[in-house]
Amino acid sequence: MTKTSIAYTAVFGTLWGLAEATLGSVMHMLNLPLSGSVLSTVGMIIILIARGVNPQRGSTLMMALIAALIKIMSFATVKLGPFVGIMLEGILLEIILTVFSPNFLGYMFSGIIVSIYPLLQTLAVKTILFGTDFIPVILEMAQGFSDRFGFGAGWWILGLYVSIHFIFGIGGALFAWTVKTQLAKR
Amino acid sequence: MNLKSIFLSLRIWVILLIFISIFLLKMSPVGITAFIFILSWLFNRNTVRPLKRIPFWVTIGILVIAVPIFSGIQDKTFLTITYSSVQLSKTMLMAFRGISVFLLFQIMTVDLNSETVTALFKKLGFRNFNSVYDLSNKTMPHLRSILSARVTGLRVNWKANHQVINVFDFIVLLLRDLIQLAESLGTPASGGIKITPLNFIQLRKNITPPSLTVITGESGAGKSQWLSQLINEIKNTNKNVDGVISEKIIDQDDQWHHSLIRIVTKESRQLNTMNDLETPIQVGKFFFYPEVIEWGCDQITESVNAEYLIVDEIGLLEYDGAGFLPALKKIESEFQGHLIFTLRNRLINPFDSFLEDRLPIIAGWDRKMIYL
Repeated sequence: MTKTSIAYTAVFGTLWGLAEATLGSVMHMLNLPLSGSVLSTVGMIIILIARGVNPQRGSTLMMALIAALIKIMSFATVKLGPFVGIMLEGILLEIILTVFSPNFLGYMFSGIIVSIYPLLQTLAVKTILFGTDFIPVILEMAQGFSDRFGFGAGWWILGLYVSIHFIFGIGGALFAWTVKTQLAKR
Repeated sequence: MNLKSIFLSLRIWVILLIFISIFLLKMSPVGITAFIFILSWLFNRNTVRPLKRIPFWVTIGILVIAVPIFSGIQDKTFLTITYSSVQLSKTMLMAFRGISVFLLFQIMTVDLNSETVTALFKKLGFRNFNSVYDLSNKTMPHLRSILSARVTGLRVNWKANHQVINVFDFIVLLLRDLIQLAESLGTPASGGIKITPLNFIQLRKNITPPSLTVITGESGAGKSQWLSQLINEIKNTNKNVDGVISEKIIDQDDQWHHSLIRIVTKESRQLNTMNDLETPIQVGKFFFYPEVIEWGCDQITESVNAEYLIVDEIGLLEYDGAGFLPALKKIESEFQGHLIFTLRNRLINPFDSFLEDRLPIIAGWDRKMIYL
């Protein structure tokens, strides 16, 4: 990495870490729902902007490491989950942006990954915590809810939950693209 | 960590005990979960604190309340609500397992901190990790100050008009500042962190005026561009900025002149020329228009009430007792804001004595030099 590239990685990695530490703390304190998705989207936007101005391989992974370290510093109690979450997001986006480059397609694929990833992480964590029966039990509940209220209500609620994640992810990617375009103009 | 220390580690024994207890959970879910809870609390009280978090109990609530009500064969009733006893047993066990596994992970990671992880990654020899990590620590205060300044600007703009575009502009400007910061950090000749116009304004807030700031650097270092950005940033904070700036105008390939511009009115006059002039005022290859210098002095005098007063630039004319010096002498006892000069690098050495001799009041103000 060149000195400039190291500087970009340090600055934007620190920004991501500060965003996770401050915004994350506020959201957890207020027990706001979907905080994981919001934080993943904010992280993705920062990564995409940084990769746009500094298209250096490995920089995204390094940014994730810096951000995860700052997050651990700030968090008093639960540490492993946020650390692993940030690192995984960094690894996934590093792969995407290395394969697709930070062009529009790369941005959109990143948005899709960030839509799916929090869902997968939630399912994985809940399965580890509550056992392999967790997913079947939730699906049974959705079916039971639909049978009770009709109109496939349970599935609609699940569908809405999944859709919100996609809105965050794709919306975040489009927003990052718009900001990147504006930065290039100014 | 050798085998002996592993066996002697209390944490390892507690983890082992909890692990075995989780496997035996079916025998007595309530009792074993209570045992794990007490064991965790005794090991480290911080391990049980996260159990207060509501999102954790939302999932347990869904499992224990919603799942038995909406799935399985409804064979029992409680307060007229039918539920499945089979599903309830299943989900209760899942809930106790969730609490136990959560506490297990808490025991494993409660002492996880950035120092141990940093040491681990340094040991692993991640390429460039040390450089990036060290630079990240150095940039943290600058980032905070940039964030703080931009948030203040957003609040001001939001108060003026409640438009979403303000938020977008805030984000774009913030990112532009960070790009500038990264660029300045990455420049080999910088030798450290350059101060951006925004950082400068933040720092000046902590200084009681009147104060003097001198922007200096070699020709072509970017003083004019820095000043231009500073003026915009000051205006964004709704502060009053005035004075005179000089702009280089290229006439031909090897011919140029400077225009003197009043910041507030944007009125402009040609300050000098490379062509021969019947004028007593010459510095190097430039011939200065005396009436424009006098006009410049008037503009500086009129700017005495500004919060930020810029004089671009101070040079040999002022050192010789002419140029903008008469105007500065007039205002130095009256001016109560932040005075900003630009000065060529090669004129730094005599600057202190110039101030003490010619502008003694300004010489006593808080002073900062910014090297570009």
